[in-house]
Amino acid sequence: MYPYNKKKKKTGEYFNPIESYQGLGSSYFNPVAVGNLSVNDIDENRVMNSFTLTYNIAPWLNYMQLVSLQYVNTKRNNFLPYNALGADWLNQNNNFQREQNSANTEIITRSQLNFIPRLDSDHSLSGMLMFETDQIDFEWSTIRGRNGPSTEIQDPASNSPILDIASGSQQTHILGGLANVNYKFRDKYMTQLNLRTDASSRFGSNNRWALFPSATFGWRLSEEPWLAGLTFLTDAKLRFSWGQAGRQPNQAYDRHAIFNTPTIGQYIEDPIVIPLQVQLSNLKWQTLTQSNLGLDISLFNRFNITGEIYTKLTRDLLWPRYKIPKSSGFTELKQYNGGELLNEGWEFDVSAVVYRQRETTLRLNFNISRNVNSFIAFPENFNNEVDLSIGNGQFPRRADLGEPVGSFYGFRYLGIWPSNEDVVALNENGTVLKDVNGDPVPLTYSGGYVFQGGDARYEDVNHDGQIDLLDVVYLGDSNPDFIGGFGGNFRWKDFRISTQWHYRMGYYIVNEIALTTEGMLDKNNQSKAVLQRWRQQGQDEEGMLPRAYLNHPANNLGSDRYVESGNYLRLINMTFSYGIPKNICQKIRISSLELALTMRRIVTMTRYTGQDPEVPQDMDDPFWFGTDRARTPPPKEYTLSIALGF
Amino acid sequence: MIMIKIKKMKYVRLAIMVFLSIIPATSCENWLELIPPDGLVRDEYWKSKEDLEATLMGAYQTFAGLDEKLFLYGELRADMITVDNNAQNAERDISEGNIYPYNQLCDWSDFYVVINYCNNVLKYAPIIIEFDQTFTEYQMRGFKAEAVFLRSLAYFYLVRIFKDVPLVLEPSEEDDVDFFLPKSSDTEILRVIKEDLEEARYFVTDDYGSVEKNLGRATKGSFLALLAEISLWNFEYQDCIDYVNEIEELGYLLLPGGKLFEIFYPGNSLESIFEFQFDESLDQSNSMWSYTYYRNNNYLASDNAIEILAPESSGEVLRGPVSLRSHDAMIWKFCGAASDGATFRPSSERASANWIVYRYADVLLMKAEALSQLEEFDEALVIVNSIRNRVLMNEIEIQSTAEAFEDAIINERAKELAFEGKRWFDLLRLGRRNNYARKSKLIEIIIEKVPSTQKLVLASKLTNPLGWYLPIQEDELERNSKLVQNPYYADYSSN
Repeated sequence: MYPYNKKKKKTGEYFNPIESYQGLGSSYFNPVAVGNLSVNDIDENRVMNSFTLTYNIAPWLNYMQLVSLQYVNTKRNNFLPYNALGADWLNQNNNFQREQNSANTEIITRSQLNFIPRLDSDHSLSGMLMFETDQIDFEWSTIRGRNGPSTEIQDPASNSPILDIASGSQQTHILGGLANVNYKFRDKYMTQLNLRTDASSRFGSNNRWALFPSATFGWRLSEEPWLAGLTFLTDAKLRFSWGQAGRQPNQAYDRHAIFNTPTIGQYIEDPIVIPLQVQLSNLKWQTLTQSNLGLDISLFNRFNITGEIYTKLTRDLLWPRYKIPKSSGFTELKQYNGGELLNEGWEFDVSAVVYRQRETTLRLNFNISRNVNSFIAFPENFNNEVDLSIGNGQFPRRADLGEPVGSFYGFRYLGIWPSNEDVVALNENGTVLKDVNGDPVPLTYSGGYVFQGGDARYEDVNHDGQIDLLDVVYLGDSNPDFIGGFGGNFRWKDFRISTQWHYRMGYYIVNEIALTTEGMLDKNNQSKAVLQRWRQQGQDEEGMLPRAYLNHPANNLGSDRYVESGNYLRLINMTFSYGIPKNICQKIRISSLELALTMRRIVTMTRYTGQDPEVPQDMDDPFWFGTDRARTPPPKEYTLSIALGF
Repeated sequence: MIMIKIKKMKYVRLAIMVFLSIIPATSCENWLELIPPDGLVRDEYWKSKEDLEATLMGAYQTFAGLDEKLFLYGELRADMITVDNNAQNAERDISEGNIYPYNQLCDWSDFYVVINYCNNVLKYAPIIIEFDQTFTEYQMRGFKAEAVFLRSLAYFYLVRIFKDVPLVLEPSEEDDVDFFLPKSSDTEILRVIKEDLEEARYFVTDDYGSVEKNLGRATKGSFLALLAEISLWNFEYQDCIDYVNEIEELGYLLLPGGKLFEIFYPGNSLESIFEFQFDESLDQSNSMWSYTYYRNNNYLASDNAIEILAPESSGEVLRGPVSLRSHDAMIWKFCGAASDGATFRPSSERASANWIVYRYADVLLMKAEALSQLEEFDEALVIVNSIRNRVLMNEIEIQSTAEAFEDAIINERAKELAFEGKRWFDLLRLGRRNNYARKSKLIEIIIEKVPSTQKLVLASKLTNPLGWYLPIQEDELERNSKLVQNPYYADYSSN
C-alpha cells in the first residue's frame, strides 16, 4: 500500500509495505492507519431496577424488603480492514472481524428487620437483623471471522471464513447475614456491634461460611463535665473501631478440577478429555482485620480537625494463578491462599469556615495521609526473587519481608562514554584497574561485550571491571511518602465557587514509555528524543542519548536513566455555579434552577515527563513497583449542567 | 430499667413468620453448590471406561505434540543437521553449545503433562472397574499397560535429556498434593520404569482394530522395543538381545529397498513398531512439515549428513534420496512422497507424516550393538550386513573388536535412522560406555561440524559429561526450591 502512485498522484492509501527493513507488514504496520481505519466499538446497555417494601409492624419494629435487578448487555465490535496492514490479500488478519456479546445479570434480595425500642432519654438503642442473597450470572459469546469480502462488511455474521467461535458462562451465588446493635448513652458513650456472616458458591463446602465480627466505640469527650469549661471546644470525639471483612476469588469455578476436551480433540479417531486445573480443596476466604483510632475535634464551631491512625492486616491472601513446579503436570494453581500483608498509616484532615457573614461564606480544607504496605509473611514455597536476570529493558525484581512494597533496583546510569579511549575500568582509588600482568582491565558487560565509545555508562559499583548483577543497587521507592488534598468553597449570594486539589509526594516512577522508545536496540518506532544521540567519537553533549545499535547487549539496561520523580499536584475539580433566586423561579412557575460549570483535572503540575504521574498501585503484588506503561490517563472534562426542579 | 412495651402481639408474630419464611432453610447448601455448565468436575468424572480411555488418548496426543521437540532433542546437538536463518535463537544456541538455563528448550512441562495424565489413568483404572459393569479386568489391565508405556517412554526421554529429574508417580489432583519434589537419580528412574514395563507388558493388546491404532498405541512390540533400548542404555546387553529376539517373533519385517519410502509416506508400514499418528485432514497436524520444508529455512541437513548420505559421495542410492536432497540440503523424510526429491506430499496430507519412535531396523541395530559388546561379532556382522543389503549397499567387513563394531554400527545407524531423533542419544551411549572410555570420540564427532574458531571452546565444554545434559530451566528452579541445578550449570543459576 503506497500513498503515491507511479504518476506521483496521491492514492489516498496509507503507507504500508508488506515487507520492509523493520519486518513483515503484519507485525510492523502503520499505526496511524490502524488508528484511523480500524473499528473498536463497545456498546453497553444497562437496566437497573429496584423495589423496596417497608412495613411498620409496630412503632419500635419495622421490616424492609428490597429486590434489585441489574442487567448489563455489552457488545464489542472489532474490525481491521486490509489497508490498515501491510500483508498480502490472503493473510488471516485482513478484513478481520470480531463480535463479542456478553450479558451480566445480578439479582439482590435483602430482608431487614429494624428494632428501635423506646427507652428513656438517657439511652438510645437500636438493632438490626439482615439477610441477603446475591445471584450473579455472566454469559458471553465471541465469533471471529477473517478475510471478509470488503471493508464495508464489518460483521462476522456475513459469510466470511470463521476463525473461531467461543462461548462461556459463569454463575455465583452468595448468601449473607448481618446482626447489628447500636447503643448510645446520653450522646456521650456510643457503641456499635456487628456480626456478619457470608457464604459463597466460589468456595467448597468445607470453607464456605465465614464469620466477620466488628465493633466500634466512641466517646464524646466534649460532653464530659470536666471539659465543660473549655467553651471553645465545640465537639470532641474519640473513636476506636475494629473489624473483619472477607474477599472471595475473582472467578466462579476456580476451585473445581474441570475436565474438558482440548483444542486438538482427538487422537486418531478417539475423543480426548483431560483435566484442565487442579482441585482446590483448601480454598478459603481472604480475611482483612483492621483497627483504627481516631479523634474528631471541632473548635469555635468553625474548625473541624480529624486525625486517625489505622492498621490493616490481610491474611490468607488470594493469589490468582499461583505458580507451581511444572513437574506436577500443571503450570499453576488457579488460586492459592497464603501470606500476610500489613497496611499501616495515618490520616489528618482539617476544615474550617474561615469567613462567615450573611451573604458570604468561605470554607477551606486540607488533608494529608501516609500509608505503608509491607508483606510480613509469604505463602509456602514462595520464590521471592523473580527476574534476577539483568538485560535490556529489565529491572530485577525481589520482594522482602518487612520491607515496603514498591522498592526497585537496577544499575546507576552515568551518561555516555564519549569515545573508545575514554572507556576505562577504575578501582576503588579512582585509578585504572589493572590485572595481574599490569595491563588495564577492559570494562565489559558480564565478562563478554567490551564497552565502546557511544555506549551507555553504568557505575561499576564493586570495581571489578564488569557490569553485572553485582552492580545492581536500590534505585527508589514507588510508594508515595504523602498523599492528600486541599480545597475550598466560596459562596456569595447565589454564586458558588468550589475547588479541590490533590497531591502526591515522595515517590518514583519507571518511565517505561521512554524505555521502549529510546532504547534504539530493535526495529520498533522510536521517539524524537533519539535525534539527540551520540554519533561520532568524541561527542560529549549534555543530555545525549547513547548510540543506536541493533541488538546491543547492554545499552538499555534497567537503570536510573528511566527513573523519575512522580510528585504532582493536580486540580481535581473546579465548579462555578449560580442558582437563580427563588423569586424569579416562582415567576416562571418552577421551584429551582441552577446552572453550573465544572472542570475536572484541567491542571497538573509535575516534573514527570510522561503522560500521567498517577500510576496505578497494585496493592497485592509483592513485586510491584510503579511503572508507567502509557495507559490512557483520565481525560480533562468540562461539564455544563442545568438542574431544573418542579 | 429498660422496659419494652409490646402491643399488638399478633402483628409481631405475623411479622416474624413473614421474615422467617424468606430465609431458605436447608436448601442453602444446594443453592450455594455451583458447578461449571461446560465441562465436568472431578466428582462427575472417572465413572466409566470411556472416561479412562479419553484421558489416555490425551496422553498420546500430548506426546505426539512433542514431535518437534523429540526431533530437536535427538538431533540439535549432534552432527546431522544445521540450523538455518529462521530457526529460533534458543535452538541456535543449543546447537552451538551455548546452553544456559533460561533457554526455552530446557522446559520439560509437556513430558510431565503426559506423565500426569498417565498417573491419573493408573490411579483410576482399578477404581472405575467398581462402577462400570461393562469394564472387564482384561480391558483395565490393557489401559493400565498403555499408561505405563507412555509414562515410561516420557521418563526415558527425560533421563536421557536432563539426567536427574523428579520422579512423579501420583496424579496432581488436589492442592494437598506435594508438588515440590526433589530430583531422583537417573539410575533410580530407569530401574523403576524397567520394572513397571516388565510387569505390564503381558497385558497390552496387539489389535486395536485399525492399522493406525495398532501402530499409534502401545502394543507388545512397542513394549519390547522400549525395554530393549532401556537395557542398551543401561549396558545390560543380554537383556537387550533377549527383548529383540522376542520382537523378531512378532512378524515385523524390513521393507524391500524399492519400497523404502513407504516407511515415511504413507507411513504405518510393516516395518514400523510404534509411531505417533498425525492426520492433517482430522486436524491432527504435525510440526515436522513446517520445520523441514525448505522454504521455511529452519533446519537443513549438515555437510556431514550430505557427505554420508548423498548418492554422489557415499553411494547410498536408496537411503540418500529418501533422507535428503543434496542440491539444497533439505531434509526429505517428512515432506516428500517419493524418493525422487521432487514429489511433495499431497496438499491434504502435508502435515501428516507420523513421528516414528521405533522401527524394525532400529531394534535390529540395537541387537547388533549389544551382540558386538558381548563379542559375538559374527552374529552382529550378519545383522549389519542385512540392513545394508536391504538398501543395496555392499557388505562390509569389520575388525573383530568391540570398538570397531561400535564405530561401524553408530555410522550405520546415522545413515539408516537419519533425522529420526536418534543420533544424539546414540552418541551419548558411545560416550558413556565403559565409564566414559570413549568420551574423546564423542567430542571429536561433535566438534567436526563447528567452525575451527569454536572447536576448542566446544571441546572443553564437552569434557565434563554433566555438560552433555541440558540444565533444568531457570523458571522451574524458581518455582521449586527443592530442585538443585545440574552442577555443570550451577554458575548460571540462582540455586
